[in-house]
Amino acid sequence: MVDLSLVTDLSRAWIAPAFIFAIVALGLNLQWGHAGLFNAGVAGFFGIGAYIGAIFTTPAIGPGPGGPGHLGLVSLFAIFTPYTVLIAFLVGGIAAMVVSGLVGLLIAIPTLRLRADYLAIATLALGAIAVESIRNSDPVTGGVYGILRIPRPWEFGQDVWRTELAYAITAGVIVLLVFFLIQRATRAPWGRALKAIREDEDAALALGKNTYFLKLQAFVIGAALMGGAGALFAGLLRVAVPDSFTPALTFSIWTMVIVGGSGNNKGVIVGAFALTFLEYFTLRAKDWFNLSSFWDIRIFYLRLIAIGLLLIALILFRPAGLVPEPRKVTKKPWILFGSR
Amino acid sequence: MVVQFLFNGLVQASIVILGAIGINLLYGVKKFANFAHGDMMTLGAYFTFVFLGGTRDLLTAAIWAVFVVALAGVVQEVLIYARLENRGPVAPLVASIGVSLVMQNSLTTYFGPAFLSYGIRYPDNWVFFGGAVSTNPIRDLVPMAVAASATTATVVLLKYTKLGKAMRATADNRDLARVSGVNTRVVYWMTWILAGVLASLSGSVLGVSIGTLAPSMGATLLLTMFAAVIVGGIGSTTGAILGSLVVGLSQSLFFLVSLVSGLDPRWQIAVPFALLVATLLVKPTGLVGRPIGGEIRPLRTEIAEMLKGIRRGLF
Amino acid sequence: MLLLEVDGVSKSFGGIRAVDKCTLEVEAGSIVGLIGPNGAGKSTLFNLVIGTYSPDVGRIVFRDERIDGMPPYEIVERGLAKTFQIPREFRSLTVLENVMVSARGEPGESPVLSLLGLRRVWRREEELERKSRDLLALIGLSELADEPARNLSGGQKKLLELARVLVMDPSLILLDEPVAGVNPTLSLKILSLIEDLRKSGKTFFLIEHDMNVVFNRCDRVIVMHQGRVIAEGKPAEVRAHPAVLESYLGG
Repeated sequence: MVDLSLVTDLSRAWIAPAFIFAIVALGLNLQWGHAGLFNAGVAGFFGIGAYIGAIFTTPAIGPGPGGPGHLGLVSLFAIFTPYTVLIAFLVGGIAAMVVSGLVGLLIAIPTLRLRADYLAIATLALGAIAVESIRNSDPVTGGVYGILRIPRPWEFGQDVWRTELAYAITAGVIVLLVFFLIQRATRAPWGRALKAIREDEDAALALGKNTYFLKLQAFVIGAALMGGAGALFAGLLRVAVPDSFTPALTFSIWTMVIVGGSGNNKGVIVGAFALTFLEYFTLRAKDWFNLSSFWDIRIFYLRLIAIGLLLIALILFRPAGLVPEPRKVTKKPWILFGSR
Repeated sequence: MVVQFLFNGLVQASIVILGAIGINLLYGVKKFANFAHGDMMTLGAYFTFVFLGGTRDLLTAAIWAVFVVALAGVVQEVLIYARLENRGPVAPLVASIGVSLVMQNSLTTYFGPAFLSYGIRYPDNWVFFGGAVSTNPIRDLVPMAVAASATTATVVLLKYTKLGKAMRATADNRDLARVSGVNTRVVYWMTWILAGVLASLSGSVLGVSIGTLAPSMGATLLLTMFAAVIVGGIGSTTGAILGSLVVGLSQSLFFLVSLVSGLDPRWQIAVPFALLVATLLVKPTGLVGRPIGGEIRPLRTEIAEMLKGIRRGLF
Repeated sequence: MLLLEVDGVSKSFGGIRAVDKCTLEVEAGSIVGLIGPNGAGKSTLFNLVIGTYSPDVGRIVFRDERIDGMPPYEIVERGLAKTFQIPREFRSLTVLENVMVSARGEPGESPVLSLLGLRRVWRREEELERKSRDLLALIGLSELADEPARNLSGGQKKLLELARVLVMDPSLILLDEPVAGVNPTLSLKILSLIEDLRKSGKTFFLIEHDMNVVFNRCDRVIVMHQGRVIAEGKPAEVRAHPAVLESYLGG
């Protein structure tokens, strides 16, 4: 007999977040691993998507003793009862992708023509400003209080394990879909052109590639994926608060991509699961190992130190990642897994 | 009133300027953007705190802290950055992110997340110009004094000393400098030491100015410092100084404007970012910076071509 | 017919004038050599023609259309192509992929079309693969088709450069030192390939330092020195030109 509380815990604290971060990491992998674009503001796109998703699925709340209130559009979908939340969830997810993609477009236009480190600085700034803007936009986003009690499309009341498992499965299905689409696109001539640009942009330019436009495509699509993942994240946590979207989150995603090997989509998903397990471990360590309160607080910082050391070690010794990259870039689309 | 805010802007600039010069030095000589620079400032601030316990004299403590941070810089260079020399600008940037995570969280692990303080008793504000300007001698004037003297010393060092010339030569063209007899390894170490000294002083000064120490205190300034460097012009010390002044004064003036016009003053933190984006749009080399290699075509051409490309390339 | 006209083009970098009021022409179907001492501005001129740089003044006309100021991808679209003096292969792509990525106007390079995975895209890709393999066979790199380009020798990389521009099916090909550092047998192969392609209608404009190649293979020779054209004409005429001799011995 399976321990249902374990199912709940694993689903909610490891599996579902791993799937969600895998989508973000796939988006980042498209920007960095395939196109060579250094996005240091991942948390910003993720956060924007989270809030858009939350706004679509949650009812609006006016200002009151609990906080400044926030925008909520779920009532627009009331005509679809009993599938209100489901439709709102789907539309919200798409809206999240569109908005994140647009923001990505705006920041990419002036910065893509500059060097990788300029893009890093600009996107770092964007990530911070996006979160600050969310924090300061009280009537829309709930300010520092955020948006609470975000509903999910499938709720099973007392059977919490069902609810959590359903969400994890939803996230998993979406990851499969995203993975399939990205593999298809990156194994096509598009992916090959991006790889060439990443290798040597000047050579690609002289061969007649519109490198600026191709990079733009990769960046915007990656940003859209991050936004969509954000919407899923809001549903997972059931709250959207500005403090969730820190630079440390960006750096965690980076580590997932680098662990998996930049450019290797399968490896990136493995990286997402590994890093998320590290986070799960950190959360549960107190219970598993009976830690004193001193270490209980500090284990979170130790996790970040571990990530930092891992990043340094990877960059020094294994920049190609821990999971080897496939030899050939282009493959026909109906051969998805395994090599030719 | 305006004068008061201009003055506040100068104070803000003073806090940013030492970090910005350090970032600029590392960028110019070693060609990478150090994302751990804010945390080096924090390191300086925290070690000042540690040494304060021993000496009870803030100045001495700050000076001892400088040694620690300078050493930290050299250690990073030897263990990490020397090995990443020919890997382009991204590899050391990623490594510096790792260093930032390690530094910041080591401090938090050891000292805990709670705020610390130097325990200074701040005297009353001094008032100048018949009430037009009110300033606290410790909170405001100390940063300005430290910034002014450290900046002058750095400029003198870079312009008139043999080391300074060697650093500038390496920044200009590393291989040429090497061939001309410059020991680039020494130059790198000295750059890290100099950047570390400035960062540490900046951190100590920040601790004095805000009054409390938090593990993220330096990191929160990272963005403003990068904005200052880019606005002023990457690769130029004058640029870093100019950029810091522009960013500091603009932020303060925005605050003034927001108070008067009813805008939300919390948006003042967006000012450095806005200046950064504007610079990248209009003149990516900054106010006084050197060209960053390759031709950059005007933005409207890029947009026009992008739109053409969308029509053709997407479908 | 005049394929390429360069008219009064100048380009400066910082204070240095790399190309100085350069004027020259290339006739369709010819092989034109561009020679001159190091630093004469030859590679810079090529970069100006292909669009990597824009001229400060002057015009560049290809097939009666002005191309100066256009970005490379528009210029390449019109039928020009250029190799690099020091080969710039895409190191982690295979030799075959290096050639295939160079083809222009591939529908599969749009993300939308590649996602839809239309038959049109993949059929075109199959054609391209066939064409690329044929090209590799022509220049003798067939066995290395699936090798990462970084594993090639210097001479093989030069061949790859050539294959990459040929797959683009250009009308005018700018070759920057096509046989520099290549062993004589391979050189001969490349040069006879160039001659065959010329017979099928292509035009070649090449920078070379090997005077035998220039004087035996080129219909006309243009000499540059310090950014300017100092002489041009048939190889025999140029060879005896006093200014040319001076630029190589003196300047």
